[in-house]
Amino acid sequence: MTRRRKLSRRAFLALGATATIAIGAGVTAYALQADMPTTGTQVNAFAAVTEAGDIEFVCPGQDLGQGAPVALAMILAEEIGADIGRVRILAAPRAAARYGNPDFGGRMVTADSKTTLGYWPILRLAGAEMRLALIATAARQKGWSVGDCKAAEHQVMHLRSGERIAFAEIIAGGRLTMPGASPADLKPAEDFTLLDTSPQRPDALAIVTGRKMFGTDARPPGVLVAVLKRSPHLGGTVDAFDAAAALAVQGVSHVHMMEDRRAVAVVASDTWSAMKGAGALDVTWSAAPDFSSAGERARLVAALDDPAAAPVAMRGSPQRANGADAVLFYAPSLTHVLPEPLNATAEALSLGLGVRITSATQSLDLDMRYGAQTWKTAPFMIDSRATPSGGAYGRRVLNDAVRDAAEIAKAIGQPVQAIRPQLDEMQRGQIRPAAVQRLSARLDKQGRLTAWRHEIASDGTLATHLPGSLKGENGTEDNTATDGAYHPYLCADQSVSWTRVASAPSPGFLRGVSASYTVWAIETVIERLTRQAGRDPLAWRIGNTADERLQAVLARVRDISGWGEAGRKLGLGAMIFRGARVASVAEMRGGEVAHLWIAIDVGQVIHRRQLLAQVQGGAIWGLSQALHESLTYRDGAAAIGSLADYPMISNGRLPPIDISIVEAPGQPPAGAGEVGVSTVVAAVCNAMEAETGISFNELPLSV
Amino acid sequence: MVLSLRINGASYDVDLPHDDTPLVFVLRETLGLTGTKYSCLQGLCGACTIHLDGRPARACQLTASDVEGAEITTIEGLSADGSHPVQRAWIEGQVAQCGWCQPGQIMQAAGFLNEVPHPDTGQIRDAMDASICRCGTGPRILEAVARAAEIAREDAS
Repeated sequence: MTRRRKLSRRAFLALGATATIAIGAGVTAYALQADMPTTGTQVNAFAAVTEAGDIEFVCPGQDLGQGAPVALAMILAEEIGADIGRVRILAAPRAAARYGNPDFGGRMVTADSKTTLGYWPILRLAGAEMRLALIATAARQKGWSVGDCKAAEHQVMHLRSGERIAFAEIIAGGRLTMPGASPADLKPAEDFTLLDTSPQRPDALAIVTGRKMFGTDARPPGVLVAVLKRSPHLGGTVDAFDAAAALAVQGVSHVHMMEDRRAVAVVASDTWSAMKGAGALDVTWSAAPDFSSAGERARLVAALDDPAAAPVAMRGSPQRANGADAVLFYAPSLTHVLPEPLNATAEALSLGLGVRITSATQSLDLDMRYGAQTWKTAPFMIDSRATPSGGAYGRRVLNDAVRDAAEIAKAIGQPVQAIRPQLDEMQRGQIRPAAVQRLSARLDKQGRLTAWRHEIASDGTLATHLPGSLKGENGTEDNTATDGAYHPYLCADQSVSWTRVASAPSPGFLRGVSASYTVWAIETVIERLTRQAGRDPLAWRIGNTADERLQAVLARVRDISGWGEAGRKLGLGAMIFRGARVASVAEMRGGEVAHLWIAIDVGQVIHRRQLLAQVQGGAIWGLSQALHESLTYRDGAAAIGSLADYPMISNGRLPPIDISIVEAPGQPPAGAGEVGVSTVVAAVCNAMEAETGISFNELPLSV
Repeated sequence: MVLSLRINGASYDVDLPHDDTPLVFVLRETLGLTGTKYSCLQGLCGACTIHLDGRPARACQLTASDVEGAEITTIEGLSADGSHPVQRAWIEGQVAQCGWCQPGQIMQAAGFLNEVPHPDTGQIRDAMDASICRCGTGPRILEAVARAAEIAREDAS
């Protein structure tokens, strides 16, 4: 589909009332539910203007804390010439035909560092339509020629006379003329004034005063709370249970065994009563499976040489990396440690034929799917809504709390908010699966990379939960397991492949996905090969990639870190990910990570300080993975009794992190949410190898 | 059992079904003060940090009877308009990402600065070390605590 057709099917151009949109979009029943949140005159699905002249932005991205709503609003406001302080951000209803992310197959998902990237062309066009409408209307009212007008600072200016008319006056002056817009009408990058600045987020004051309402803060009056007692080990089902002790807890009203027998829900008037009830419940579980992280690791290693395995080819045809120089890398399972517990509220609608699902979620569409499957009704009978999320990091995409809430609310005939406490999720929830990689490669006499053999074995999140979303020519590649494996270096003889090994824990999406281990293995091998060959690892990378933007980023990190100075223990990691070019240098001193330097090119910068915050946050996530994080299973269960059993990097131990942006104005913005993670893992490993002379082939890195 | 609590300068009589209800749920669900958050419920993450007589304490590890007679301050009581030096430093530094842990971080910082108004970097690191921010706002938190101390001094002079 061409870009223009992709854009036009979103009912661009002048739209009237909601019903018109619905019929125009061809999804009548669906859209009849999706009330528009705007109050002003709508120019297209994304932008309206109120009588006071404020712009209403219908925001398709969820508020997960990464700042997507304000970044998306900035793109729209830049094209309009609006004052960002006069743009109201309103949540889009679930209406994928209008609000889906084209980079997500048209679904409403806020994840995978694709929000700014995916909506950039659409919101620019939507903003241009609003700008041209305001200009055409002002010109009509004033007798100006459209070609003599410009929109900026929330006004239309007549360039010949210097006269200005505020958006509010234009609206007061009569109906909007709506000429539409095409990509040729977009503002050139040199005219941007708002992008690459750092306006305050609209929720900044609410956050610091405690008024920002997240999912668990916003439980409507009369909605009960459900907490599940789940099996202490993986895959356990209920053999028998006695509800008496739970029902004896004051405040507990219902006990419901889940249909799949994997949990028993305790429903109460408040969270603590539900937690106490779940604790009091007496359940006999089926036996624990024979599963451990050690056993899983052995199976992953064995899969690489299993003649029956069918590896998915990513580059070249699958070949074994089983020469004498092959290195086996191991990355453990990881958990999200979600700050706000998973939560979802289900309230019956339309005499129980439909249901309203309200959740701290990354995807209204997937919530709808879970809701419809569980409620056993049609998608259009599901009204799914989002609250802000207290952290997400990929965990709220496959937002299974929705299933819990819907099943329990239907079973007991009352509205329910399901809450999954943090420790419960860490012990039994979704994980970034463990992975084994085997890699071998050589540098020839000229220093060229040759005989690259990279094999990956792991479970796959898409393969397990969303097989219809698998990528690649044959629809067999799971990018949650292969992201980052496409290294940016010149090499004529390459084989990169992935073998799925299904495992017992439920795989999920986690910030950085597989790139934090694939990039670690790739960059560690490159660093070892170049050092062994007596070549400078950074200069080699610049000389052996065809990507000029990556070369520039490498040169920048060289300059800011003082790379090459005698006696310093530095390590490097680089990659291209979601369109972003990233290079990180870590310095070790006395066995500690003493400093991180990161150079990035993410194309057009939208919100500068948020970009830096995202990269910095990703770097800390990477540092934590490199040094601390590992979720270990023993005897069929996660070996975690408290948060203290899952070490993470803490505020007091953070090294200085310097980030330098290589500017690329006008280039499409790249994904930034995860780019800090992976190269930091690699850079820290390489710096530790430089300091100690030891090869680290296992995460977390430890001497 | 009816208990009388002093919270943000006001008195509340609370009648709780369970003696062991953690204070964080009394605040959030009995009294509707949802600014205090919770994550681990084990006293390890700091999301539920409040003040007892001006000192930081973790509301998930306390019950209502533990705090009867104490002056409790929650994020709502630090200042409703964001004028407390720590809140101002947080806004100025654009510290927050998701914002969930920030009320606890702010209460930890404000309580620390009550006791150590002129901290050095090492003291700030130690004071904020056990408050977890999974989004990775730590570097801005450390800077904002130092900045808040500066703002408080500017206000005083």
